[in-house]
Amino acid sequence: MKGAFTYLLLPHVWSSRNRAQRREPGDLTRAFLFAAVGIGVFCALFYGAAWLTWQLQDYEELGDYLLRLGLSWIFMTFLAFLTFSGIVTALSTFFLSDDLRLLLTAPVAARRLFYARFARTVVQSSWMVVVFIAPVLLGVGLAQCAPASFYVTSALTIVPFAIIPVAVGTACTLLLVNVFPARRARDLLMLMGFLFAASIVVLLRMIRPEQLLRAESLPDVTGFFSTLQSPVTPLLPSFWAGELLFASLKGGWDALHAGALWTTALACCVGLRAADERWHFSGYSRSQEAPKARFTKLRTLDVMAGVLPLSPVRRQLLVKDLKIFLRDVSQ
Amino acid sequence: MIAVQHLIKQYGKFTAVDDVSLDVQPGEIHGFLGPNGAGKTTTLRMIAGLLKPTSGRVIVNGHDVAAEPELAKASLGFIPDRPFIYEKLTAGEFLKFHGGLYGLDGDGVMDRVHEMLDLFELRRWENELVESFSHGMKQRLVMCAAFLHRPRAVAVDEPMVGLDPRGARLIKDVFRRMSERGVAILMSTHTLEVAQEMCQRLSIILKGKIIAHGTVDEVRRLGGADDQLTSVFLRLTGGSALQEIDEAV
Repeated sequence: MKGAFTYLLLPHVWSSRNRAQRREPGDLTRAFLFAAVGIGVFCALFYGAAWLTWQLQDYEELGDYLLRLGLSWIFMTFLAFLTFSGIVTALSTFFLSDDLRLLLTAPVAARRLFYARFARTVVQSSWMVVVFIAPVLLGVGLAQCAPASFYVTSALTIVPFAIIPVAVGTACTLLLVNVFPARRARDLLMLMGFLFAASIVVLLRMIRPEQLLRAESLPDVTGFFSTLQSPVTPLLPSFWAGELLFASLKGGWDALHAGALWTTALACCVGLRAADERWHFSGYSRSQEAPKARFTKLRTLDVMAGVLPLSPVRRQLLVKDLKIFLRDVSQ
Repeated sequence: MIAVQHLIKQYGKFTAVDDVSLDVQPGEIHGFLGPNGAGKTTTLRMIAGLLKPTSGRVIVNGHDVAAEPELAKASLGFIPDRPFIYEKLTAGEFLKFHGGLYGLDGDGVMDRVHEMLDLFELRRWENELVESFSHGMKQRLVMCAAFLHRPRAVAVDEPMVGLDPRGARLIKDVFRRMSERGVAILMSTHTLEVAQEMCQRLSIILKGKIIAHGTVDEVRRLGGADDQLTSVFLRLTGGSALQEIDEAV
């Protein structure tokens, strides 16, 4: 047990247990409040998914086609979300987490540390997606009177589906921390946020949602949805997950896409582990460097503040706030 | 033992540690002195395996930290200036987990945990969350963890900061006892009295370079006739003269 990577996760388990055992005033109320909101959202998603699936059943083959596409697009959306979430979370878990100062001075094998960190990254990045997708799949399954194997397949689909984009995100972080000259972790996050926003814009342009508004295209719904297809779509894990779940929904088993999902997830883990063993320490070492101060020469600001009719205290407070504002990239 | 050979650490164009070499023999307490920002912590972090050196080697008990990190770290105890402790764990849980990281297993581990908690006078707080500890208690808990696995070498960064006189005395006694048992201790400190009292040899670092090393007496003689380590240290590291302080104040 002590040699397994799961041992490194024990402090988090024990901390959660201690937090639960030593409740503070208000904790119970907060827990009930969040649980109530969570259950409400779960029920709404479940009902919405079930209702929509029932409606689609009225359209014979088109309904199935739309359901298939819908599943694929839900997973496509989550693919982008999980990749970005993986980048941000990996930056924290692999490089900025305080407990690394303890773990890296202990005789812990790099491989063991990687698995523990990656498991944490996957869970932290994807729990929200899982919480969202579970009631949706339950609703779809219930409406379609899916066999029990559908629910088992759903669980077996979500796991590799979450691993792949988070591994890609972690690899991006590993690369950026080692290559990018910026010293500030938050600078990296800012860049990532910008890239993510840009990718969303590109994605939206690819989808061309304005076609929905064209009245002449509405009769040909299948034609519209075919425009959503792109040559790369079948190469994405979101497509594999959608196909696998659709086949399972109909009582079948899509071994090709199940195999594609699991082998890709495994390959991602193996590849990322090798990269981590090679570059994690150098990246971590780089991330320990003190941030470089920006805008250190702001003589003009001091001169301008000097002519303002302010008391010395207020003038210095103003200069201080302006300098902090300019140096803090999150602003 | 700890051997540091031609260690260099550069951050861009800035050289934080510049060709530092030193060795700490078994049973020796080696003082590592220097003003703020001289490169002490950076050197210790490279010894502990937290920072990657630009060049040079660190050998701990015969194991190269870069080539055999697990073996080197297994025989090293590291006490950083800003230690990390899981705040939501109890002292006992933290030490038990720490022991597990070093392969301590079975019933013996709790006996060892109790032994260390007794030694550092923390047994009463074994089942208390670390978040409720004072700074000094946390510092002593970190020492418990560092000595839990019976390291053959210890690197310690500013061990006396935040300790009350009783705690400081305890730490000094523990370090002395450890060195008598053959543990090599490299201790970074600002407290020159502590260095003078406890260390067999000293190295003084300034702007990343070792500018003086030797026994306490040898270092004292570097400053001339003056026998106070503080005066020698200030002279070597360029500390302010009283006249300058008077003018500034």
